[in-house]
Amino acid sequence: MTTFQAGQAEGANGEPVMVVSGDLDLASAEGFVESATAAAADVSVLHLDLGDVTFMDSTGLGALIKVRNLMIERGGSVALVNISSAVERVLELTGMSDVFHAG
Amino acid sequence: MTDDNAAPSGERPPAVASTWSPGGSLPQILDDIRQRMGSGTATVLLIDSTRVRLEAAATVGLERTTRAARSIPIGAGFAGRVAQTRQPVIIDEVTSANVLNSVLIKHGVRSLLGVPITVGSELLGVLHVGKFQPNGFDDDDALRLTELANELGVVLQRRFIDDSHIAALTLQRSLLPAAFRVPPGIEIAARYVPAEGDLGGDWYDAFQLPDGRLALVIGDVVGHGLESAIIMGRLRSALRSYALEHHDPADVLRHLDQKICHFEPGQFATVLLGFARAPYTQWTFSSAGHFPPIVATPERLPAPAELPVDPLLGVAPSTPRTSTTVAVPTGGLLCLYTDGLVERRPGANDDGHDLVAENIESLCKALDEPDDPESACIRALADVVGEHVAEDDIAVLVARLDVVRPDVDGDE
Repeated sequence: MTTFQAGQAEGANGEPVMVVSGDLDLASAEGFVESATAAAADVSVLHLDLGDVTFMDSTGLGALIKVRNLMIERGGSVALVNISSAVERVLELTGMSDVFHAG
Repeated sequence: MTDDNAAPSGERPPAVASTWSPGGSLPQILDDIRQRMGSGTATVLLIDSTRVRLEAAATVGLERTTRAARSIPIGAGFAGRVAQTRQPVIIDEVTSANVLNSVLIKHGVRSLLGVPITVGSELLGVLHVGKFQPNGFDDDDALRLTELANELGVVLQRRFIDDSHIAALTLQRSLLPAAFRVPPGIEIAARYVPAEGDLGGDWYDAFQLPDGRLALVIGDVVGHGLESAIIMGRLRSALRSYALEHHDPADVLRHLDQKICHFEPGQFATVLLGFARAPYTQWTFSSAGHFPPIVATPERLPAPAELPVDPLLGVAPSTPRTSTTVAVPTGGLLCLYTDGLVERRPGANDDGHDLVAENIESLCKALDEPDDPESACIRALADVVGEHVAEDDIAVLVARLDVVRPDVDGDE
């Protein structure tokens, strides 16, 4: 089990990127939504770096979709700038790859 | 102050000075029973809400049994016989003919003693102990275990009343049929295993429609706890309704998606739905974010069906959905399952391993036996989950197409 952490970094074009690492699961999903909502307050596109997410279960996926829907409701979007193989696999298995890559 | 909860006189539970502390866990109690009986294993099976099946509730000395033998029809097998006759049953030499649970045999249990757990006239379940030698039990042992089962009954009855977790489980079980009414030509079995310490929103369903179509369903509401179980119940019945009206599984899932997005915003679910007509060799499946079914044929190794996976339900009501035909030959098998069966949180030594792919592979191997769906379910759980702690709940459904005999004579 790897501890969930969320932090901020700067993207290639100076945009803020929320960097998530560890297990995105039942235990961390709520914290993730809170952090993401706070990070999304001032931006129209929420950049998420999920490159160091070691494990994502269905609750973690649900949290990710919640954040996406929240941004879309506001006329914004979520951009995944980096995803780990663990995240990629779950997105593929659940038919969500296109949804997130298009967003 | 009067005691409103007292049973009418004469039906009062026997006033046994309880041997076990009220808060003691079932495995602790079983361990104590095992020591008192000098046995290698001890297991409790409880009668389920349908009153026709027994479910393994706890076991000691045989870690895989709980999951592997989730459900046994009353009357069948060793524990089923104890429940039916409500009499102690001693098996001097365990064989596959007198014991249904192959895991008992695999672990080297050679003799068994089982007694009913009753309170008053009510059957709560079955308590059994096993030894790794043949001829391990006699009539005195049966008397001693019966006394212990009576005490256990009092403890369990109190617990049934108190435990809201069991209430929630009962809700879930009441929505998951233990036995299916299916037409001739196909046999179906399913298992639901709740996560350790929690329940989730997994479900399975199999039903026939007035126009003759047979539907197979498996789904997983994202999240845990009572709320997920309630959402599951709503989706299950909504899906049944849409299935009455729509022939294409993609249409059914499109309507179900609209229903979730509108009435249950913030909820997500994966669902796999298939329809077929007799002789059930041509299935039409649609997947909303769910693992494709595994198809086994008599000729080649079982493998996941080639099936495009559309997004899970609850993301967007306008999500386009597709249906795909999946052929299953007579004598073949379909297995639908939820991610709890194959998903594992990677451990410290699992770097780089695709645990899901490995587990799907071992599931395929477990299904590569020409036996009945009940045994296939048991083997799938025993081989794929094994002694792993069930972190997520698991639903698995297996359908086998009978080998149809030609309906003309001279079929040699």
